[in-house]
Amino acid sequence: MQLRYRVSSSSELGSMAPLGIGLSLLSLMTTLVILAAGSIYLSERRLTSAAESTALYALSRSDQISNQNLPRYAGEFLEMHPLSGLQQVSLIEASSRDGFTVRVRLCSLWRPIFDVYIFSEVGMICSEGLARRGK
Amino acid sequence: MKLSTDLLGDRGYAIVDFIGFGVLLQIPVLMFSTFALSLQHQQFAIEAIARHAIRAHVLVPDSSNTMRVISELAVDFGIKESEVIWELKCSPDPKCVEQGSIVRLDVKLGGLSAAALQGI
Repeated sequence: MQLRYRVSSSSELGSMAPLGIGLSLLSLMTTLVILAAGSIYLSERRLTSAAESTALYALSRSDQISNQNLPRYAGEFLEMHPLSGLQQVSLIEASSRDGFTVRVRLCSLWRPIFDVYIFSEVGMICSEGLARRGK
Repeated sequence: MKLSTDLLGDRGYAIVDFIGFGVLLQIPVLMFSTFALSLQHQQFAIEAIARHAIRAHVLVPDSSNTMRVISELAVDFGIKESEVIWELKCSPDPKCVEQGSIVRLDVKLGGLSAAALQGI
């Protein structure tokens, strides 16, 4: 015995297949977005660590902190120690305003795990680290 | 039971659609999600281990203390400490005691790896 219900509303007519495929695609997209968000957070954490290490190195190399020498020391550190897990790291700023605190700002190219078209524009992430010398 | 090739038609059995799309498609998606998120959790864990352990080493330059910190952090993240492989490199002073030395800590877990750098 086959039971079939047909209501007058046209929205309830049709196959379940598009709904099933749509639900699967939605689940997959949600997973990919969560993974991409995790990946960008991880890259930013790595960049922050790298910026902090660079700031500490520049601070330790400087006897007298000056804005002329800091970019050179920071660049030297980044050249000596290539950073794993980060692509195209560039030094944006290495400076000190008060003569005690060194601020280093780094930017890097971020690529999602799965190269999705909608993320292709979100490519650059930046982070900064501070190191301070005691009086 | 006859399967229809017309995807948009409303003829057929709902149970076939339910099994086909509810189970055969959703379960692989769920398995992939679980695997990928677990992998990402492990990557987060070893990044955190590398970050905290190197700071501990800079504060107390003693390998046994660093090993203890790594073990405790691994347990906190639900990872077996025996699976975590780590290597500490210092330059120019290999003992990591001299001021101005750069410490590099590499942490590996399976195929995943994380590195942290810090100056003494």
